Amino acid sequence: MMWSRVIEMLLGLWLAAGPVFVPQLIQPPPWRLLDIGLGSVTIVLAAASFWPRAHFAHLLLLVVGAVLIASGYLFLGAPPPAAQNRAVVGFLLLMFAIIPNHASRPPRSWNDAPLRALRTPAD
Amino acid sequence: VLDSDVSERMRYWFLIPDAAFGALAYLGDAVFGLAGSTRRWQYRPWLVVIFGIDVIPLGIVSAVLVVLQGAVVGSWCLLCLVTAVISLILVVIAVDEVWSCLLYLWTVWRETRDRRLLWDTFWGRRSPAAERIGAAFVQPAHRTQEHG
Repeated sequence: MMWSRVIEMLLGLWLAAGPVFVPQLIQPPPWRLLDIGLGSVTIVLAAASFWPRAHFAHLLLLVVGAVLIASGYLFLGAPPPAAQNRAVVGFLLLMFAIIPNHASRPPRSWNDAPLRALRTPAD
Repeated sequence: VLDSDVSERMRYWFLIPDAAFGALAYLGDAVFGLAGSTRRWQYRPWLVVIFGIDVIPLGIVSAVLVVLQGAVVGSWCLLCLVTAVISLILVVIAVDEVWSCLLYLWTVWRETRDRRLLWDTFWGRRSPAAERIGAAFVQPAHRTQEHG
């Protein structure tokens, strides 16, 4: 189960659609477009990770997270709620983006053949 | 505590209230604790090291911050005291996995003296040496199961 990718898609949805549900997050158009743009990119990258050829796409979310946090620092001192929201989503993306796709399974190289360590002498 | 100068200064540095930052750190404990299998000390040592960095130093920092409440701010916060106790309990729970992982990496380094192999092992790449050393780590557990 790629639960971390699902959470990233939800975070992207929150970033893009948050102001619809929380009026305090409404900002002037440039910032609103940034939120919608980065939210959409987050959803696309998280969804792309389900495609085997782009299974490392979620690592690009580290860049998205860093941009979100950096944009929050433009309001140093008294950041508006939307900037704080952007920073929190950025920190969350940094946290989830490093989780591998199938984290509960061994990496592919360890899956190629049974481990000697798991064999008993009876095997 | 929540409206103190220290708290305001931390909000200035981190953009968000320090309490929210603490909540993020606890969420990190849960996320990095749940990700991976019980064998991740061998399959993904980097994840265990991140988990260790999140739980152990931050747990100790949490306890120090609670001490600072009384020493600097001059006031106590019950919920903060509870979170500090939880942090220290998490440290006790996490330390054995982190220790096993570091011991595994140290054994790989001690037996091979190969930096490249150590680097690959840290990122969970399979190698005969890492497999052999990992097997030796779990051997006593298998013996115990066999003798039942």
